[in-house]
Amino acid sequence: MGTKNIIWNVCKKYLTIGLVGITLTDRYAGVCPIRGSSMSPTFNPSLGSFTDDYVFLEKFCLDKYKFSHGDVVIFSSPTNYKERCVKRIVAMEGDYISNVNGASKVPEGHCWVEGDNSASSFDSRSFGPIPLGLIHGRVTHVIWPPQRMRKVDRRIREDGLAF
Amino acid sequence: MTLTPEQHQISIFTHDHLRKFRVGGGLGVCSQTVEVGYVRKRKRSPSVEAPHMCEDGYRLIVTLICQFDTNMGTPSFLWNVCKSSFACGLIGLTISDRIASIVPVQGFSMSPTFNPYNSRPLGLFTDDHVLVEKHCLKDYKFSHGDVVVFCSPSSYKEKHIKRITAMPGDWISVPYSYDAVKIPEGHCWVEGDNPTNSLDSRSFGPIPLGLIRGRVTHILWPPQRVGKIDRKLPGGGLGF
Repeated sequence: MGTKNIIWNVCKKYLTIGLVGITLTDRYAGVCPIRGSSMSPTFNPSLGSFTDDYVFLEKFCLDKYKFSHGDVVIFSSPTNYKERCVKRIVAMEGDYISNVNGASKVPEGHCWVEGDNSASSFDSRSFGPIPLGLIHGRVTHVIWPPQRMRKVDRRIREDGLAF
Repeated sequence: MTLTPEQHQISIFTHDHLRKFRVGGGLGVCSQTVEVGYVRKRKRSPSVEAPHMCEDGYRLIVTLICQFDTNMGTPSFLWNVCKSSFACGLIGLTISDRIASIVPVQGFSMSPTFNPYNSRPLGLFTDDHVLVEKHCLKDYKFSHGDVVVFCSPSSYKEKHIKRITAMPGDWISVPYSYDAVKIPEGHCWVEGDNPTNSLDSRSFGPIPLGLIRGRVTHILWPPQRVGKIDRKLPGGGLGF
């Protein structure tokens, strides 16, 4: 009977730790690897590096959606819901974006995202503005590899906003 | 010291209410720590019989009265209550995030499936409450006719509940015009069952499937309307 109790206690401990971990990553913060080079040089600056950048993303912003220009966010891709993309918010709702057809206004509840590496980035210039409900979190720090550990700043670009 | 092999009732001081008891007190019994086995936590006064050989060689059967020290009783009870409620809260959160949850349906855009007109709206008590399952979010096996809960594309803080009438690749005929719109990849067209009173894809266009937060499977309240929600294919939604 002693062994059963020990096993049960160990199980309870691991279950509690697991649940706490799941709840934390669902609601508050998480770690994510970055693939691809659409956000060079912010993430994955060199093509031949051995390891992908790992970033820390926080989900506190999802409560009140206090997003602003220049935030790097992770969102579900509007064309393929099983994938997640990481891009920077360039324009929020109500802003005007200049594209090939003239200037268009970002609708309410949407935002315009673009990658830092405009040459090789599949972003709002292809699939249009995305609803803010698709966003899963905001990237705050790069946490791997160690030599690239730093805070990810909000960077506002000069081009892209027509008015 | 002389001992008679009788049962003695001795009050003990517990260091660890699980296992060890220090047998002490009057009657001249040997006082040393005795490991007597597990005491079940919820029994306030267990009686454990543990034979112990005293130095005199007499077998002493001790009936132990489990007695918590005065500075240890109430806080450990409170701590246990806190731990249990924390664990229950965590389990509840995880279940409602990942497996299923119960939500009230407000508004009449899905009459008569939810909140039919003939039931008097008295606020939260007579709104239909439905079971939303989130297991579908793993592989997104949505199909025509599913009733889904999704974040509104125009106001991200609100959640709406509508039925999927077209999936990616289908053609939808836009009302009041001769156009036909093809649903882009990764999007779906949602409409309410009550077309006159429903703000849906006819206003805000197709929505990305990533906005969906769950699929409605059953009505759970009020009791006379408990039942499974069927997949209903709409009659006139598909243009071609």
